[in-house]
Amino acid sequence: MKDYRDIWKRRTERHTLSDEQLMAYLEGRLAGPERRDIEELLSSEGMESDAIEGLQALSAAEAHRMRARLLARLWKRVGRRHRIRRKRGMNQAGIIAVAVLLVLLIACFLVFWMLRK
Amino acid sequence: MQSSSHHTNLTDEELLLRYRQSADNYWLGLLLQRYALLLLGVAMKYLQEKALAEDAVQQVFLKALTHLPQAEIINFKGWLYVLTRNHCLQTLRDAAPLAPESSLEKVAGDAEPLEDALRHELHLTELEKAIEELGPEQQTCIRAFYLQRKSYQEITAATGYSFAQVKSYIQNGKRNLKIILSRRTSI
Repeated sequence: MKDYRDIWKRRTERHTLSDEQLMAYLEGRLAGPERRDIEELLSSEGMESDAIEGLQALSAAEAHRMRARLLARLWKRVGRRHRIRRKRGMNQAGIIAVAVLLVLLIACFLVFWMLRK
Repeated sequence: MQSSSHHTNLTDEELLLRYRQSADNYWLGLLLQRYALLLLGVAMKYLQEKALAEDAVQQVFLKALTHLPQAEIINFKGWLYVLTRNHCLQTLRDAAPLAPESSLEKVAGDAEPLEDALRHELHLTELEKAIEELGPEQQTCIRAFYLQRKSYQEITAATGYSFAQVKSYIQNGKRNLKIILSRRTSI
């Protein structure tokens, strides 16, 4: 009877399955408490529950391939913007350095000119 | 370009904060990478077609990268889940004449934490009685999963129900138990 307590088990932590856990479950490589943990997520509505149900329709190899394609496209997009931003950041730093150098040169020239006078 | 492994231990909140501070999509990319497989699963559940699901996740990534709200997101995972679900629903609606009705039946309502309904302690004897009021399939699955501690695979093997049916009987059984018990406590 005490096992029914699990029906109302409250998950206080924001539990997120790692890809490794998820794939291990789908491939039937988990047993005991690890498998139980995942199946308790399945018994409630939410992201993990929907995802595991959906992934049942894919083989592990297919899921890996699809994930890899998605990530390749994601990083292609993110990487381009990341590089542009870094380049822009470097350009700004360069302009500031040149400006500081110019100000220093002018200051030196003025000091030198006043001393000579 | 892939994520740096030394950033993988950062929480969602930390990654989101770094993104907000730097406006660098790299941090958002790390966050999205973390949920790629889960999102693919969610999209597969609703759309039931590989190409459509992959395309949906890609669209969700794009939306997240270009339209992340300026307002603070307290629960990024929840936000992403709702974004994906809504995108899938829209895809199904757009293709309504083509989509089988069964795909729309799979759409769950807003997730309501069952546990919140039980604000006070309930006697387990009441629970046992309430389980007897459930339909036979829900009773079988609830008892097998919670009392006999069987796995989903064992339940499907023993009953002949599909994986999705077992999941649905357990979820619906829990929801019905909540209704039965709250009805009893309000009497």
